[in-house]
Parts: sequence; C-alpha cells; structure tokens
Amino acid sequence: MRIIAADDEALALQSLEKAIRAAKPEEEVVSFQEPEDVLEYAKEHPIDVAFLDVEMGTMSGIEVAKQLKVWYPKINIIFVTGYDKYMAQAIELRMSGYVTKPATKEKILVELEDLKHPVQTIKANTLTVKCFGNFEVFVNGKILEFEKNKTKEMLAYLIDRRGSSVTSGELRSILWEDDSVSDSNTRSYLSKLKKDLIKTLKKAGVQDAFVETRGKYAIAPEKISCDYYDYLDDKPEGIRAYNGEYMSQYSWGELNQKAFL
Amino acid sequence: MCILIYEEDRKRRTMLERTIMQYERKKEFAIKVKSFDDAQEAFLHAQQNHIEAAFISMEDRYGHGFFLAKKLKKKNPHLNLIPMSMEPRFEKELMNMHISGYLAGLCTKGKILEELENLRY
Repeated sequence: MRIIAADDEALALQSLEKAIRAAKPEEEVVSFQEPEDVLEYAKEHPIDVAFLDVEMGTMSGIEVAKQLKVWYPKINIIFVTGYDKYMAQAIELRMSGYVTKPATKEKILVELEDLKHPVQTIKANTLTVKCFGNFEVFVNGKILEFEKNKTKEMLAYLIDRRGSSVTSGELRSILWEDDSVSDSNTRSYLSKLKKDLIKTLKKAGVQDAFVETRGKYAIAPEKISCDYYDYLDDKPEGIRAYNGEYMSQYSWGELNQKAFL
Repeated sequence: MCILIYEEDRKRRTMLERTIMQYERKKEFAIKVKSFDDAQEAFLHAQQNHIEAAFISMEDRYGHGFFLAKKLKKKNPHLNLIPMSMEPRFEKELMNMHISGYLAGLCTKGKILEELENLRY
C-alpha cells in the first residue's frame, strides 16, 4: 500500500507522518509540504491512500483530491482538518473519511481499516483462493495449475471444509458423485490426485497448506488467504468479495450457497 | 440485497422505490425494498431484517433520520448508509459513520443510480 501525507505546516505534517507510521509501520509513506509536489509525484507513482490537509496555501486539498481522483478513481482520500466548512465538497468527492487534527495512531487506524476502496494486498508465498464466483487458486498473484481438473476440485472441497478432516470415502463420493466408477478405481484416482496436489503445492512453495493425518485430508486454514474465510470472519474484504456465487463450477458448491442467503 | 428507505415525502419515497426496482431488473439480482415515513417503524423493521443499504432522509426537524442512521450503523457497521437532504446536514457526524454517499439537492433517478453503483460495502 502506498500512502501519501500532505500538509503545508511542517509540524502538523511531522505529526501526521508519525501517526501513520505508528499505525502501519510496514507500509510505504511519502510526505509533502507543497501541493504541487504531491501532484508531481502522483503523476509517476500510483497512490492507494492520500491523507490531505484541506487548506494548503496555494492549492486546497480539495483541488488536489479532485486531480488525484481523475488519475486514480479508486484512490482513498482522507482529509485531515479542523474545519467543517469543506465537508459538503468532500462528501461530493466521495472521500474515504476524515481525521481531525491532531492526527493520532488510533484515528489513522480507524480510517485505514475501513477504506472506501480496500487495497488488495497480495500475501507473498501464500496459497490464495477465490471462492466467490468460480473457484480459483493463486500463489503470488499467479494462477496455480494442476495436472488434473479433479485435483482442483479436491482442493476446493477441502477449502470448503475449512480445516475439518475429510476421509477418502467422503472425497470420493463428492468427486465422483454422478459417475458410475468402481470403488477400487476411485481409490486409485484419488491417490493420483493427492500426488498431483502435493507436487503442485510443493513446487509453489506452499505445501504446508495441505495436511494428511491417518488417511484423512485437510487444509491448514491459517496457511491460506481466502475470501470465503474472510466473509465468515466478518472481515470487510470478505463481505465486499461476496457476489452471490460460491464455487460455481461445482454442483456441491450450490448446497453451501444457501448458507449465505 | 435488502434496502430500507426512510423518507417522509411521499413523492420522493415513490421515486426511490421505483428507481431501485428498475435497478434490480437491470442488474438481475434480488433486491427487497421496504420504505417508511416513520423512523420508529423503520428501526423496528431493521431489527428484524438484515439491511444492507439505507436511504435515510435528514430533512425532518427533530433529527429522527439522523438518529435512525446512527442506530442502523451501530447494528450493522457495514451498512451502506446514504443520507438525503436538500442541503447537507450533520455532515461531520455522518462522515464519522463512513457513509456510502450522500443524496443532496433534488432526488433524481440519476443520483439514486449513482449511489447504487457506488456502494461502499
């Protein structure tokens, strides 16, 4: 997440930057005293969040915000102000929020944890799954490809179980629900799917996400970034991700769809 | 999606209902709309139903709309709250609630649709 802070008063800017860094020490923060410098910087560098003082001498924060919104429509503008008179204009701009001076870590955190346009941070070296809509699997932003389609469905079912162990019998009944395949054949296929899953996850460096104990299979939820889990945990990013569909390419996914209604 | 409307003016209330129903047909997903001209009844309805978006009038002089908005947001912090009034009122307090938008001035179909297309949550 790239955050900028702008205030024409040096002390106020220092205090604002300090509060932002205290709230989010891991994020990139760039500060400016001149509104022109903000715009110069923004031309070359996409910005996710902008904390702007409303009155900045030569140019108002509102004017800066308007230009930033033209270049980056999904930018989160947060005004830092002691004045009420700009509220109506700020509302028109659909700003993410505002902070009263003096800015504190707590006030900054309240805003950053409820952004109008949440910033999607891709967690590095983590198995990331998308359950709403079609089920998809990513690592470091790239789609994870399995040798067999049913391997992906197997992983989808384990994700759906959210850490609960699944027996091979249960998996086989789900994966070959409508197929008239013999028991011995499904056992053999499942073994191949398991090998494919382990091999693919290991190649991506995320093998810890899959757990096998005494012939039962599960995923480790804490090793996975998942929109469905975020939704169940009432996280804003999960609620926003929900689009009315859940693992739509799998018929058994429709049964769980009802849980959301 | 469940949408609640609190608006004392019948004409505006009808305009909102109609526009939202047109939006539902266009987008092809289910929207339930319930409108009220009484803040207490609106709140009772919200207690029994999970409301995802609310168009709340700030016009009434006793501040019923504002207090209704506060109570609804407390119940559901991820509520898409859209206050409405001819001139913006209670802006500072409403901004603190992280409103989804604001319908200021005349209530037009275009403004309503813009709010529906830009819900915060």
